[in-house]
Amino acid sequence: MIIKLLGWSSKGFRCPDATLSMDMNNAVSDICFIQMPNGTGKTTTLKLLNATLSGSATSWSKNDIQQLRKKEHLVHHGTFIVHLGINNDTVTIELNVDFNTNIASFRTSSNLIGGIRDGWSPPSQLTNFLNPKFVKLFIFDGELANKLLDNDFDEASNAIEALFQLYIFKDIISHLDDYWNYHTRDRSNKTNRSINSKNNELSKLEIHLSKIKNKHSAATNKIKANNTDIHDISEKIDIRIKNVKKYRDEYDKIINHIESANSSISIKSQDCMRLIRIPAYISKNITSDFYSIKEGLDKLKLPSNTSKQFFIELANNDFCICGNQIGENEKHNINNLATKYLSSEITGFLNSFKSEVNALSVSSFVQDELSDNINELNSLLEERDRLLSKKRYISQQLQESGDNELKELEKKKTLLEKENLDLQSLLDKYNSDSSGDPLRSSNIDYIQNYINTLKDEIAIISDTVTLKSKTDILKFILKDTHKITKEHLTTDILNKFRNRVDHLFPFSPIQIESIDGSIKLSGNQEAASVGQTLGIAYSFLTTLLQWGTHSFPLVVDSPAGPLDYTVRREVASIIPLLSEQFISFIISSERPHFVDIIKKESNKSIKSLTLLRKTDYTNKLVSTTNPCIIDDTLDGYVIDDDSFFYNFDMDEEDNNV
Amino acid sequence: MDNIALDISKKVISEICTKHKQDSTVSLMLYKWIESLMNGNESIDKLDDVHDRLNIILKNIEVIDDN
Repeated sequence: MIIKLLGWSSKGFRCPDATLSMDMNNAVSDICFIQMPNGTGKTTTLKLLNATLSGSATSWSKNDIQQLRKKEHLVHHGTFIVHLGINNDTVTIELNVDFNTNIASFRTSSNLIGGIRDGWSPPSQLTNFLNPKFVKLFIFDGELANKLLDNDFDEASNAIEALFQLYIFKDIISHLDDYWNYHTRDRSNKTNRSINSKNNELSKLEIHLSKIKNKHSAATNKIKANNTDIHDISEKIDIRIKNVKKYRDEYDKIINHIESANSSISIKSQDCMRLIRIPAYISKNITSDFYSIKEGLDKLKLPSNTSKQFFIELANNDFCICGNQIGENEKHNINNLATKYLSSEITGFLNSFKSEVNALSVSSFVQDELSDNINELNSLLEERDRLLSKKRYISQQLQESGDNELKELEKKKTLLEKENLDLQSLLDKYNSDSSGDPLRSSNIDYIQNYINTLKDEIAIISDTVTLKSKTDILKFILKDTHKITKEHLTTDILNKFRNRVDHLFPFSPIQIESIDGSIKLSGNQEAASVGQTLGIAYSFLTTLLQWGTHSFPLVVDSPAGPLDYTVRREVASIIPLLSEQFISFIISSERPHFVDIIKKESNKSIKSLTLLRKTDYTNKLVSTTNPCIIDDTLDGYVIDDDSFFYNFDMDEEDNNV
Repeated sequence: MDNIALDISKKVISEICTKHKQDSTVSLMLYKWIESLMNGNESIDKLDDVHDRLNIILKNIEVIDDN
């Protein structure tokens, strides 16, 4: 992918309004020098280029934005438009700044994204390179050059990270931490120790539950066995009493009445239960409350997804359900107004509730019916108790008359019944006692529920612990891969970088020891001079930018300013090799031994622009020299004229601009 | 240049996964994701996509108890 900067235009910012094109004879010039005297806005232009290409302008503060506002003229808006060439396509990114609201926004247009889009939205193949980390490698400022060799910064390593997108590994690790926190945010216990503690508790509870279940089972079985014995004994007692002629008839009668009473009690109990299930029978207050709830609900509607079809089919009929003919108007109204009567599925439930409450209002409920039934049940129970007492009385009379066998049978039966009562109270205890420490409880359901909850907790903690182990493994893999991949790439870059530096400084050998955060010089070498620093930085960046299959423009501010003539010539000899496109902001003093060397020695296409801020001096200069002005704006001139470019008076420049 | 980083990453990921006793599925999934991110086909800023990728990779990671 070949990326080229085709040009840009600026309006409303501190730099003069200007439109610059890198075009030269219908092609993008390989090298473009933009001569801008001090104070013309080189720094502003670089900042705008950087922010527009990287999309970082949206994070500007109010202060950042106000510092970019044009000073000499009242402006409310600023627009900076950058045109990029991507192979044979064009991408335009437009930065708009509102100086009143201090808001920066973007618009992007390209065939590659299907036209114009609001926001910073370059094509996906560019997105990874147009990030702030990478853009600052090819929109290069002198500050980065210093940081590349400064031990307090990691700019050299960061540049390698940015070029090869190795930061992706770190980004994934960062997301992995977020992922872990997201999936465990509601879980307080996340450790193996928690699992062991919960497992111990579970084990104790399961043993306890097993014991309680055994006791429960033993009691239940004993009750069953006792009931069988009681039944057998009762039969023997009945036979024994019936053998006595004096009591036979009366006793039979009592037994028959008891059976009849039991049957009636059963029926009456069912009646009571049926009435209790209808709240309206319990109290008149409940019925009146139901009316209040019903009145408070919305007007009756139909559940949408089951009733919508009704209206559709009705509208398609020739006649309505009321018998009237359905014409076009009626059809239109049915379809349009149907939604008024349709609602969500909960409506079905509410409609049903309302129907039930309506039924309450039309039925003549007698709330006393339940209490009448309960009174009747109590009477039946009293009757049965009376019959049982009579039965016991006959038995007692026989025992007192000397029937020891009967006495013995009654005694056995009484003991068994008492034992069953005790056992039943024990079973009742197993069904109550449902609070507090489950290890002290006898309630089987309570203990079982506690165990189920504990098992769920253990499952959750186990998942959490497993997830932690897995995320740790993935982190190790990512960290190791990042470290080793970076070491490989850094070693390869270092070798090429050393060769380039050797070639650049033949008279003052500088040896590069390593790239470890910053660029480290070998042995006891003093810190490099300003020129050497710039030379080393160019060598490093061009090593990086020439590495792969993509080509980027290199934009540099004052590339030769701090260099002596020897180093200037060396740098000038490598500039044409730096990248497919080199754009440089210069001042007139950088022309000797730099621009002129490149112009003389390079066979590449070179464009020489001069951008001037409008002042009395520049207005006079332009009117007397009459150069080729390609853009004459509110406060600036863009001059595409080689003669003007090379003869622009460097001595007077600073004094008059 | 991204291809060089990817080529090296692919080999290294495979070696590191083996070192951490993970099978080739994990290294392949991880490599494919990184390839997609580096080529701009996926974005690290799309949280749902990132979590989907992590879900699948983490499901395939085996926790081996050395004890």
